[in-house]
Amino acid sequence: MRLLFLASLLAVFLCPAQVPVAMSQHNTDRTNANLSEVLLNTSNVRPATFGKLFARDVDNTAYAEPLVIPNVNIPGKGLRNVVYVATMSNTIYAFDADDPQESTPLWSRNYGNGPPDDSWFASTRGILGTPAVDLSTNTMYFVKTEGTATANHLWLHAVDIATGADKFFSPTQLLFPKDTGDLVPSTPHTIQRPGLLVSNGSVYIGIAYFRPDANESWISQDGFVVRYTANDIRTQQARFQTTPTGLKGGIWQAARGLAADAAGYLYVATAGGDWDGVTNFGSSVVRLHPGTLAVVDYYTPANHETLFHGNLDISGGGVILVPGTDYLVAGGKEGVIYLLKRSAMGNLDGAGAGAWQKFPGINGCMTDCAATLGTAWWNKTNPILYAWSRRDYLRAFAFNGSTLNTTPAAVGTLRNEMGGTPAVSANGGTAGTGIVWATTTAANANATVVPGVLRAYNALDITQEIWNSEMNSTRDSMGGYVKFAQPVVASGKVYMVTNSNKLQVYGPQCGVDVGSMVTVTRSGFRYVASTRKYLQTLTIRNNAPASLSGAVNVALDNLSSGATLANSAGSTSCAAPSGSPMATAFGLSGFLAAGASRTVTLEFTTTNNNPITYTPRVIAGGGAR
Amino acid sequence: MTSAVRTLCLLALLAGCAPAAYLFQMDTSGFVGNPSGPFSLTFSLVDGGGAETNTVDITDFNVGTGSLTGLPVLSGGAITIPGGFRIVDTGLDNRVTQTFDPGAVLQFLASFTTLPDDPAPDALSFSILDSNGIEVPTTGLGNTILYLELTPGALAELSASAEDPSLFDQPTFTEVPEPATSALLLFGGVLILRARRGARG
Repeated sequence: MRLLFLASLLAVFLCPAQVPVAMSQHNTDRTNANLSEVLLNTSNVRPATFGKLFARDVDNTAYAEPLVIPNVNIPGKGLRNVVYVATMSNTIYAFDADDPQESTPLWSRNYGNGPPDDSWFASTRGILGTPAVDLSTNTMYFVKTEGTATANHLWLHAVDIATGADKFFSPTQLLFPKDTGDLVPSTPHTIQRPGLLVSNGSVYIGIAYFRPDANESWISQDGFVVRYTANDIRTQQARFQTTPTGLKGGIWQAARGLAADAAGYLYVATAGGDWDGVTNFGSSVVRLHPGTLAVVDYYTPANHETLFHGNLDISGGGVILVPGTDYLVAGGKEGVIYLLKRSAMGNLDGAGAGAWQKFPGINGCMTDCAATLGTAWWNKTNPILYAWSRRDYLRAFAFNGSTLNTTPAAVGTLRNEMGGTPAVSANGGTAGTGIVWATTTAANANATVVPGVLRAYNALDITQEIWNSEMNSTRDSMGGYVKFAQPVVASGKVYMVTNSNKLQVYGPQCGVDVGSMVTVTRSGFRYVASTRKYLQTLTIRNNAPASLSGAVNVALDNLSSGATLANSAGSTSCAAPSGSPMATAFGLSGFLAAGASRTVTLEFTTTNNNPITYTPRVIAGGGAR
Repeated sequence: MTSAVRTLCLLALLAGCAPAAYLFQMDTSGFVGNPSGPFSLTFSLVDGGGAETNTVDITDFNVGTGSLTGLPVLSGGAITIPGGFRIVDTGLDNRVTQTFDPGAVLQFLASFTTLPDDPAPDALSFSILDSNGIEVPTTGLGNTILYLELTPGALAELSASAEDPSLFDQPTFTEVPEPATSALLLFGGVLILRARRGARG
């Protein structure tokens, strides 16, 4: 006989953190895919069951992706799942990620006035690139623009995610080399667009730096990647300049974050600029040493001059590192998709050299058109690359392990004016769980506010739009569209920044039955004579590969006649069937990690001597019960 | 050793390892003279899933210098048997409540069947009630001192102590081979010993 004592029987495991969204595009591969999403699927993301849960007011447009960090210990408030929003007014907001009622930020802080903008982005220029969070130190890194219209500069901040307080000698001003070699602050119109990268104790920042030069007919937008030590950001440790003896080559990547492989090597796409393959690397994809930021390999298309002078940035899409392979995907305004080998990137196209594969994947354009190549990668047994550009259709390309099929497996039915930037959510490669999310607009969003639409497609058949925010616009309307802004999916919710000074939060309107993902083990009953109650414990084990969060309840369907759940937390009214009493496993800020268990005590009374029977139903997510 | 002797030995040893009765023991000196008394022992067998099958015998009480007092209150499938009570799963709740005058020790034997019930097992719980019929607070869920699931490989859970550890601390619940089983065990051991000696000779 096993003798288990009370403490061990009632063990409630302290759960490791659920999957966070700590950087743009979810990971350093920049796949823009959350493959640990267990609550959303193609059945419940439908107009009748999915929609807006709540919205949060912020002080300006947010271009940076929201980040979602679970289990943050907020002083005075305890452990919370937190969604962070960075605005063009240089403000960071930390909101409770789950609680519809908690509209007041857990904390917010303004980090200084941004300069008035030229209305290309917003009323002011503030935090543009998506911050990155180092989960090992609970530190968020971001770059702000601060100053006046004629004198504004970039600053790097490192702040505590629990309070917003600066740390690690934050802030520090970003400095750039003049032709003389002196380091000077950035000039107006310098933009920091790509998502920041935190990797192996360093912070990496990609920049398009405006270099005014009276001797030139234009202003050069040079590209830089700079590195700082994560726990001491005072001094720039290394710098890569795309065209030190040439022009342009800015790094903006349509906001996609800088990619890094497991060894820390960076993969960066540069905009049109001078190229010589030795010193200057405009219109290229480069591999950078993680320490020195020296170019260790590169790829440059043969038509780089055309791309440069036609403003057809190959960087208009950034880089995806194909998980588990030696490949990467890049591409930009021209619409050409490049599949490169990381270990031998190909250098300049030519005999015996060049791209592993390249083909015109999307419509693209032939001259300055502001198109980009929005992409996401669903890594599964038969991987799929999703691509959507301006004035084009969503396309899905199958990957066979070494090449992409140049004929799309499917093409969407909507031709947008702007937008795309697809993102994927799925429970691994499980059929019925893959969703492609994207935002579009039917108008030109450059320098003006136009309404956007958040859309969801069946990832296995992108001709099926299963939901969009205009199907029930009264409830779900998204608000102003933001260029390159990607839906962020985390733990059953979709977070969307807007040009309407709001963060929109969408999710299932009712809690999701997760019975197929958990096992429920019942104890026997113990009778308490003094209260005439029968106590029973339910142990819920999460068998899913990802955390369950946003509250977990157990509904008791078909509770036997005469029995009452005395410690009921209410009855189901939204999650069918309705009218079943519920017990709470944990609230909105809790979560049950993959493989972990949680024990719930049920207290029954009964008016007869019949067995107490019921069917347990475990409900998760942030929707109503 | 012949195969017949080997088989006999094995049977004897197997019999010795089979489940038997379990002895519950706790120090009840903290209850002696306690103003919250008189106290009662309450045993409750609760049906798990509707299959009314299991039986628990509670016998061989030893309360030291104390005594069981008055008549037990029986409900459901509870009856008295020589030396104690038998509780049969005849419905949801089957219960015995017995007042007692505590001594320094409380012990009893629990013998039970372990037939599975579904989806929840049948379970026995044991608590001590004060003069108001309220459970003495313990570290166990529902202030139980012993909780026993009547499943194959039965699961027992003991309260580590009363909330006030001076009242009682660290009860035990240990297997006690039945006399017949003990005899078989002894017999098997003797057979093995003799066989080994024979082999050496």
